[in-house]
Amino acid sequence: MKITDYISVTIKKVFRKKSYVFSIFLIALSILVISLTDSLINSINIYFNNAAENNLSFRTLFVYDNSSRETSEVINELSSYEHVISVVQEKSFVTSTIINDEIKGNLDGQIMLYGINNDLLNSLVDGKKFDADSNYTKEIICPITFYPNSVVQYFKDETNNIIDGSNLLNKKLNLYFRNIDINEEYEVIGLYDSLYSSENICYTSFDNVLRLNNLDKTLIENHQYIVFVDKQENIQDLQLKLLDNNYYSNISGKKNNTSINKIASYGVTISIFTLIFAILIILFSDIKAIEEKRSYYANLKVLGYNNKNLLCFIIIENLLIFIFGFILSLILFIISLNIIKHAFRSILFLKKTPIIVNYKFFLILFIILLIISLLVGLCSGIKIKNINIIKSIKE
Amino acid sequence: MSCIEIKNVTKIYSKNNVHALNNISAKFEMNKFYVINGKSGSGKSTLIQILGILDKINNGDILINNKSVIEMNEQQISKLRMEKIGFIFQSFYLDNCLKAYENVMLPMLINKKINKSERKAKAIELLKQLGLEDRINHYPSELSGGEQQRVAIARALANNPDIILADEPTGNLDPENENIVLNILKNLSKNGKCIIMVTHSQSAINYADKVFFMEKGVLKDENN
Ligand SMILES: Nc1ncnc2c1ncn2[C@@H]1O[C@H](COP(=O)(O)OP(=O)(O)OP(=O)(O)O)[C@@H](O)[C@H]1O
Ligand SMILES: [Mg+2]
Repeated sequence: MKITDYISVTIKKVFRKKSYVFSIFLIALSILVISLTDSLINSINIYFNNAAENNLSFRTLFVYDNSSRETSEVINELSSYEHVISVVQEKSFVTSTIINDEIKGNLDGQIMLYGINNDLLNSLVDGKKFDADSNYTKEIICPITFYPNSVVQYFKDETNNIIDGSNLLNKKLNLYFRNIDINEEYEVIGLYDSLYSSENICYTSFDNVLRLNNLDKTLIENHQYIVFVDKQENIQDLQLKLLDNNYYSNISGKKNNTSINKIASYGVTISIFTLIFAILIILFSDIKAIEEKRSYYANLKVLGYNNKNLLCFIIIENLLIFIFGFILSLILFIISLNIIKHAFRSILFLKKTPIIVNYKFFLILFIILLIISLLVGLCSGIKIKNINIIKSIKE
Repeated sequence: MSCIEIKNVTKIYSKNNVHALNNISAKFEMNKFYVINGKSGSGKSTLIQILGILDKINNGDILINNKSVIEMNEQQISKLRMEKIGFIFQSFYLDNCLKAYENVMLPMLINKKINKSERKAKAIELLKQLGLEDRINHYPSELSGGEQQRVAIARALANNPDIILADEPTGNLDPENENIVLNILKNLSKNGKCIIMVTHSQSAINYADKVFFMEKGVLKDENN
């Protein structure tokens, strides 16, 4: 008997019998859950990484120079390091409080105003740019989300009270600089992705902040510089190199990974359970099939089929059910991805991150389940070897 | 020449220590229609199963075409069954997921002597011979009992076996269909096959070339 014969008979049976179709659906469904979970977790991870990458505060180093050299000399030297995109002196930030009540809402009002180079500033936001030539401007870029308390971390407790920064776009913030006792109005001209921020940081032009700091007579010169790094992954390298040259540095913001790890661990748990579920389905549908079809197999033996023929039938049936289930899961996967994309278009991370399809994962899943269904088929085939034809045919 | 012969066969069901067949011997020849008659529980089905090597015996010998099957392995027995023996049962045991002609094709799949291209035509030809030309593409659930039994007969004939073993093939049929099936079997025997049919129905006796009586595991000739 040829393989094609086994396949053609089995295909006929598989599509004409409800219980087979049901098994195919269950297998497809569980593979779908596993693969969807995997790609959503991947996407979320990538989104969070991108978000952190976009957030300048995670690429900001405070560097201390204890050589007491000229400011411009140090800035030049620091700028020459690889991966450094911009260096400003410590005077580049100032604390202030928002005082327009209608905007403040639930906020404690504290914001950090960072002065950075206009080019860098422009790289942070889409939309309206700072005028690269103007160095005196009262325009600022704000985070998409303001945290109620300036030291609250994302995903912790007060997520409900987060202020949507997009309401502030094109509005004027009335800022109070406590140290110098001055009020100034700033127009919010852009927003940046502020996920993970532990402080409410706004950016404005460096010269603007310098002007404010120069008004503060209490400020002591302390040889601290702010270094902006091109990529998060390069920070550690840079820190080591700086240390070699006697610069001590601190990173400004640190990513809080616990919530992501939590999501990832949920995902892994879901995946493992569904995988076990899928395996159980394969096992169960097979055992059930053998029990149900003992009489069918006995009948085949009556017709002259030998144990090897039956083993082939069982294995091919298993494989086909699994393969059809797998193909169906791929189709369902693609459909559900599109549904998710369209239905949840407004969700932040789907807007910015394409859902990642991990084909390697599919391949691994395919191989694991293939081996399992082969093994299961083999076991059932061996089991069927010893059936009592007469007893079984009457079942 | 006998196509199937049993010598001093004893079958004991160890579970309840029933001597279903008690030291029986018989020869069956081609071209003949044998009917084995007997009361319920007399061992008729057991005999059919033993003749078809579906079960093991405790004692004696079974010869098919003068070759003993006792020492054969599973593969050899399966091949013998595929080539030489067709079974018909009271229940038809058709595959409900396969159409009539596909059911008939099922035994041909393991027969290397039948080309793939011939199978379907052959199955349809068999169904036609049994008066089922309009039922070729029907599923078993769409057929009457008599029609299903005829499909089962066509399937039993698929590999053109010498011997047809039938266990109460008309047990589920009305008198009209019973006659149709008996006529088919009779014709088959006329065309050279060895038909061995067990039944407790008396009407089948009229068709038989030779009648045996089964009583408490002992096979008796119509003469004694
Ligand atoms: N698998 C079995 N295990 C134990 N005893 C069995 C088994 N099969 C049959 N028997 C016994 O063997 C004896 C013969 O059974 P068999 O089925 O051959 O009778 P039968 O002549 O075909 O009866 P019927 O006309 O009712 O079909 C009976 O007493 C039956 O109880
Ligand atoms: Mg019986």
